[in-house]
Amino acid sequence: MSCERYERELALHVEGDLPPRDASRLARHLEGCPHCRGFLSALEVSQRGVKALAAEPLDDSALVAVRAGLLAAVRERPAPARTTSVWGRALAAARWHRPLGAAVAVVVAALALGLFLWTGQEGRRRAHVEAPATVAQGAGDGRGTPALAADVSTSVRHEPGSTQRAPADERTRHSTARGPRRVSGDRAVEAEQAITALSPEDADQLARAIVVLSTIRRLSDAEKPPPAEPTLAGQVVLATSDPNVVIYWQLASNGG
Amino acid sequence: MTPADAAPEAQGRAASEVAAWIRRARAGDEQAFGLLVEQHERMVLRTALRLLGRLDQAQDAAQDVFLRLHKYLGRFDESRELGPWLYRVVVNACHDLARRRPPGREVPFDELREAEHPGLRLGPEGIEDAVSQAEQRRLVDEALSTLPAKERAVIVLRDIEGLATAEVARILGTSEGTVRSQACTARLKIKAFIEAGRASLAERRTR
Repeated sequence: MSCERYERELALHVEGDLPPRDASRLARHLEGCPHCRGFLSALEVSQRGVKALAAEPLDDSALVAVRAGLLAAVRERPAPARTTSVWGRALAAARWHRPLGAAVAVVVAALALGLFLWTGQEGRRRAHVEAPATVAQGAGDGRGTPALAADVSTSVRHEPGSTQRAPADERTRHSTARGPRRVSGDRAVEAEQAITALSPEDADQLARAIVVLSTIRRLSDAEKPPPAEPTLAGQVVLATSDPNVVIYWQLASNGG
Repeated sequence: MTPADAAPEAQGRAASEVAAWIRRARAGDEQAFGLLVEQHERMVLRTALRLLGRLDQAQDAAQDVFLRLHKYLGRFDESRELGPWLYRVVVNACHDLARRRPPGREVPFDELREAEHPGLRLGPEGIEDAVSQAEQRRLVDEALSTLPAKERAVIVLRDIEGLATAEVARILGTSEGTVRSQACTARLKIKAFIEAGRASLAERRTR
């Protein structure tokens, strides 16, 4: 007996695509037909192979390549629904790199530490060096007056509360002077401890802020000649998950 | 699209959340656009990879899909589901890419019949044991690559992505009957190709 006409029905039945009425008729046929039962078994095997493709994981590097190409293409093309904001671009770029956030955070933390140590030893030479960074603890009397360095400055401030302040913090609240300052050994250690104690999320946030500032600096440098005196060009305030730690980043284009 | 049929990425997000991202992205919020990409990139790249069979081309197609999304965001009705729209754009983008590349070989169905390998009709489980998983994987890939574009799209969306027949019909702009017919033909071709490939491998091993 030729069962070829049932083969198409079996190919639908194997994935539940056969209407119930036809499925009942096919089931009755299968009971008495070993050939069709074998055909159905073979179909189930091949379909298992096809459906197994759905479970195969995609390599993250393949997605990173897509994002990188997409970001470059989006930036090149004018689109009505696209912001031209520098912040928007930078934040989007930072956002898309989130899977690499942990690795970036580690690098940033290492760089920050290196810069802290360097500024502790070479603070007075900062104004003559490209892209130095200063970390100071105690940013004065409010968020709006963090320390300003010649190029990029970072301020880590402990805020135990507006009404209560630990003696150790009182000791460091005098640092309201603007301009390059040398970081004392004690402060460098305290700042180093504050940075290294950041959670991965905060470190990731810090990494994003650096992307933002780097983008602003690059665009600012490209669009206008450097001023003779350091000029404030950007500021980021990072409220970390630790309510006692607030991080300030400031950017100034450097005329030197 | 039923929850069971939805792409895994889409299941984790409420439609209202995606709609909010679309509104924000349309207003120029690139962070929201980045979230839309992040939410759907695996589905888009995976589908493109199954449709085209090559990662480099699938990446090109995925970029093209999101560029189209970026371009048409202003006209996209956020009350609609984004997933089916993206599937449709993926299929179209892959079709455009495939047209620009040299055509692959489409194996006539008659070549794939079991009659080509008489005497080697092992039971399906017996053959399955004999052929390694890597070979099985390669055979499935090759079987997919021999399908005409429309049948391949049906298999990718219906059997691999797990969409309902009605959803596949909407995405491909055709009827459910046509989808069922194409799925049926494609499944028979895949079965025949894989069996022929396994038989050929088993034949070589016995020599």
